[in-house]
This record gives sequence, structure tokens and C-alpha cells, in this order.
Amino acid sequence: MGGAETTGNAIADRVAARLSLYLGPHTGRAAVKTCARKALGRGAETLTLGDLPALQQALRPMLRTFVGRAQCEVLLEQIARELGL
Amino acid sequence: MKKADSYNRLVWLPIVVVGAFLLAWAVAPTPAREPLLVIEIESSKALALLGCAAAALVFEPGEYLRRAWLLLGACTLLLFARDVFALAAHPAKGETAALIIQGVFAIGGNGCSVVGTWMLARTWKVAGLDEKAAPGGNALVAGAVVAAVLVTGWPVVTDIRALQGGDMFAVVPLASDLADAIVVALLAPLASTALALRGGVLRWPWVFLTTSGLLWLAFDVAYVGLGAAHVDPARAHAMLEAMRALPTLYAFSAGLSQRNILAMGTMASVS
Repeated sequence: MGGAETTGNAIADRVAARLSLYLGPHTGRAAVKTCARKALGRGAETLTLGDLPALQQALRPMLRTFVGRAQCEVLLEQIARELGL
Repeated sequence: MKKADSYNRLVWLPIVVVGAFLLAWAVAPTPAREPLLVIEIESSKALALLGCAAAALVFEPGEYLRRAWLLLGACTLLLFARDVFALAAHPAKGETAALIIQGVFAIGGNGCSVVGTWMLARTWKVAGLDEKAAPGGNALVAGAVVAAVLVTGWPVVTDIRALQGGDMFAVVPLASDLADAIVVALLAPLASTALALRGGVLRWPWVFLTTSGLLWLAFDVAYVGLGAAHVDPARAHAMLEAMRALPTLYAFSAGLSQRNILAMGTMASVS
């Protein structure tokens, strides 16, 4: 089901770790993988810093559903800050 | 640590409240028992309403989970209104107008419960997460459907027979039993979501909602069991009401946990 404990990519792992606080580690990783595939058409293991805006955009509908618009924006901002953007 | 404590409190609160009620009922003199029951029934509904409202209001207008929580709150409000009407108006037994009014409240409440639970059960899908990632899938669905049929099947048949026999008011218990069947079947996706979110704070509302649903199932089993054993439900009134208050209070825990997760800024606390 969940597969490996990491995605094999430091950026994807940082994003997943931040999401996991709300969604749990399993779904945090699944969300990053699903959104990377949807937004970029490739796996989470290929993520670069330049992909982050597109990944954030893809994460937005999922996060808004679970935590609402306000918390979603706080969370995305924290992810960007954590990755130095 | 503080956060974990607040969720643990929400786990234990319904059990403590219902335990306190049963203790008070056991030691209360007979004339005080009926008012005590009314207080227990209505205060648990008021708390559930409060919890659902708190959860809804933490989201912005138009957001998906705000609508779902509002519907669960509307269910409690309508059932609360039905009780208040019965207490305030003191309708004579079998009075047609009163039965219609109470029936409308009950059917409306059950309808809101079904739609609200359905929305919460499909949050995972609405969020666009990969369906394969939700664990438990088919086994949980099969188990929930079997439980729904076993527990509500016979009451539904009885209601339909009463309706065929000309008792038009049998439509109210029929609506209630059908709503129970749907809500029990929806336990599968609720539990599945709780499992998928394990390790994250967002699991709590779904854990509490699943617990509430399972306790409603236990209540239905007990009620049907009493009927099958030809025991007058009035003889087990306090125990049945305690069993009814428990899932209602877990709806309060669910709503309050949802509110706490978002209102207290979980992310800010660890950044």
C-alpha cells in the first residue's frame, strides 16, 4: 500500500513530512506522489525546487478540502519557507 | 503533549458523562429518574449540536467540510426540536397534527444525517487522493453492508408491512431505519479514511465519527435484540438512553476535534 518510508527525493520528503502532521505519514507521501504525477507528469523522486509552485498548486484542492482555505495557505507557505523559497 | 491530552479528553468525555448519568440514575429516587433521563437525552443532543456547529464554523462559507458539518448539526437540531416540541406541547397520544410535526422533524433530521455522513465519508475522494491509497476498502465495505442489512433489515420489513396495513405514520420509523442502514453502510469509508489518516491529527474527527457510527450500530443491535427477546424496551429505558447518548456525545467529540485541529493552528505549533 504505502510502499517505502521515503520517496527517495529530499524535497518530496520534506513536503511529505510537513503534510504528515495533518494527514499522517502514509497519506502525506501518497499526496505528494499523486500531486507530482498530476502536476508534473512524473514521479515525486524527480522533484526539484523549481517544481514546487506547480506542486503547491496541485496540493491546494486536496488541502482545502481537508483543512479549509486559510490553513491550506498557511501550510503551503510553511512548506515554501522550509525549502528556502 | 497538550494536543494529545485534548484528544484523549475527547475520547474519555462521553464515557465519563454517560457513566455519571447511569450512576446518578441508579441512586436517584424514582420520581427524579424521568427528569434525569430528559436532561441526559437533551444535553447530549445540545452538545452534539455545539460540536457540529464549532466544526462547521472553523471552515469558510462554501467549503466542503463546512457543508458536511452543518448537515450533521442540522440533523441534531431537528431531532432536538422534535423533543422540545413533544416536551412543550404535550400532545395527546396519537394526535394526528402532533405526529405529523414530529414526523417531519424526524424525517428531516434523518435526511440531514444521511447526506452529512455521506459527505464526510467521501472527503477522501473529493480531496482527489488516490483511491487505492485508502486502506481496508472491499472488506470494510462488505462488512458494513452485511451489518446494515442484518441490523436494519427486519425493522425495515416491519415498517413496510405497517405501511401496507394502512398505518401512514409508519413512514417515520421507516425513514429512520433506512437512514440507519445507509449510515451503517457508510461506516466503511469513514473507517477507511480514519485508517488512511493514522499518525496525523486529522484522523481524530473520522475516528470519533466511526466510533459514533459503531455505537449506533450497537444501539440498534440492542434494540432489535430486546424486541426479539420480547423484553419491553421501557424496562431497559435508562440503559438504552445511555447507549443512545454515547454515540451522540462522540459526534460532539468529532466536531470539537475538527475545530481544535484547525482553530489552534496545528502547523504553527510545530513550525
